[in-house]
Amino acid sequence: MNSDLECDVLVVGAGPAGSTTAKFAAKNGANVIMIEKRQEIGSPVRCGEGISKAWLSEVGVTPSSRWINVEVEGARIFSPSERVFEINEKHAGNEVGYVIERDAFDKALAIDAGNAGTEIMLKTHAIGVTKENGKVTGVKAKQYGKEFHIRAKLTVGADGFESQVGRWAGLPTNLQVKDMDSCIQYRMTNVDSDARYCDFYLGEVAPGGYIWVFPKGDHLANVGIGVQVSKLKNPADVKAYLDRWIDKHPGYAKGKKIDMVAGAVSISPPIKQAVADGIMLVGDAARMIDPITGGGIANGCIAGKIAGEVAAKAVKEDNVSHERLMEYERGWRARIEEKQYRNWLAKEKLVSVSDEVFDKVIDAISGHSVEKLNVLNILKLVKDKYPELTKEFEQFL
Amino acid sequence: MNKKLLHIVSKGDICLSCGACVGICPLDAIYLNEWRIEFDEAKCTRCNICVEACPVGAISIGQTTCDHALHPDLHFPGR
Ligand SMILES: Cc1cc2nc3c(=O)[nH]c(=O)nc-3n(C[C@H](O)[C@H](O)[C@H](O)COP(=O)(O)OP(=O)(O)OC[C@H]3O[C@@H](n4cnc5c(N)ncnc54)[C@H](O)[C@@H]3O)c2cc1C
Ligand code: SF4
Ligand code: SF4
Repeated sequence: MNSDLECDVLVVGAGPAGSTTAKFAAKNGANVIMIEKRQEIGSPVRCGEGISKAWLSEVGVTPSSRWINVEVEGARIFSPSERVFEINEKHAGNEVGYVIERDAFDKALAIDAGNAGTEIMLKTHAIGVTKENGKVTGVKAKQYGKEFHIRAKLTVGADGFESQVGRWAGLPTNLQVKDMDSCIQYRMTNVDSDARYCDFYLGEVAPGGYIWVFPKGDHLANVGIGVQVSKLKNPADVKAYLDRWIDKHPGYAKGKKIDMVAGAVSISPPIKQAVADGIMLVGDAARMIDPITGGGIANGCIAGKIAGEVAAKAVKEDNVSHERLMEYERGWRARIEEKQYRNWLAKEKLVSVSDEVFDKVIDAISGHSVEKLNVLNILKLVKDKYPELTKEFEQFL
Repeated sequence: MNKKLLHIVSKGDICLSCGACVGICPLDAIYLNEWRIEFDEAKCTRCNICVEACPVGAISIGQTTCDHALHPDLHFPGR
């Protein structure tokens, strides 16, 4: 029996971005409901499960053995001819990180949100937003076949890549096909992954993206691919690209698959507007994924904290106007936007680079310390070793 | 020709419920209901974008002469 419900802040989607938003809104005194269409938060896992460490304390998350699977020493970037560039903890510090159990991680964040006072509703699907005088006033939801209205002073769309809340509210979150990578991943056992490293394979093996091997320990690893489907002759070939790569690597070809997931990530520049009257968007719903790495957990949580804090203040003041919510818009932009934009520019360049050039770039920088490697220094090293390539990267100099 | 209707078909046994098509459809014509994708035929313009975005080729847009030729895996809400 569901009659209509009411709250201060309604969060749609219990992923990392939603749970973090809910936690900080509830902590700061708001009466919060978070709805999730799945029956189990965090499951099934649709993720490579690699994160860096640096941002966890910022969003009040303490590393826990309940969700840390492997702590890696570094990352290895493999050029098309498999020259290796290593980024290790010594050089990159907190940028290097953990391979996590994503379902346990998402649950841990939801537990924090619940402990802060958030009401959590599972198997509850938002099917539309309601509006009054152009202002969002909550959502129409469906649970166990029954439809009802959840009236909220402020609605937060944290509904991931497939986000509909933003579109229902009229926010510009549409993507072009070239601004997304389609991904497929196997969890494989009996593989020769190195538990010290997250590995990335670049070039024609994965047009517009990369192949990743993230170790889960004991010869177990997430082996996945993300590609820009617009770069493939046949978009349905994503799986074929991954299978081909596995076949060519004996250490993986002998592996056994124990699960398979697919998904999509945006690789777009930051969106123009993430707030309107009565509504805010966070995480993948606001296309906050890093266009170079395809990782979105960190940005989703960082923005979620800001969103939750602003939400609590705005409902307390009884002012959820677009102008009031600009505090969140300015906050997430100050923290995330510049890097997302810069990485988008760099990604646009990277996806046009040939295998030959990739090999030379990796060759030029391997052996140098990451500490000193910003884009400019990389270009200088490339210029010294392969002066003929300078033209390729002129725009960045 | 003008009697022919374009229709959109999802092959349920291939679909991995990844949501790529849902996130990319410019007209909000697709959604995931539990783990099955549904099309809202009234909103769909047959722009082909979802077909391009699907990593496993589970969607196709075909032609039919029958107004109600629905693939068994397809479920149009409201019908
Ligand atoms: C294959 C793959 C590998 C990835 N690997 C990594 C990685 O290694 N590291 C990394 O940082 N990022 C990775 N990402 C990206 C990462 O998964 C996302 O950035 C992250 O999940 C974003 O969190 P979120 O909370 O914004 O959205 P999500 O985690 O997608 O959560 C959204 C939630 O909203 C729910 N929902 C959606 N619609 C509704 C509705 N209408 N009503 C109610 N609930 C709804 C969904 O069920 C879901 O639980 C990967 C993505 C993919 C596809
Ligand atoms: S063809 Fe275009 S409008 Fe129709 S469902 Fe696919 S993406 Fe949406
Ligand atoms: S993009 Fe393809 S595999 Fe993914 S949900 Fe849509 S039809 Fe299914």
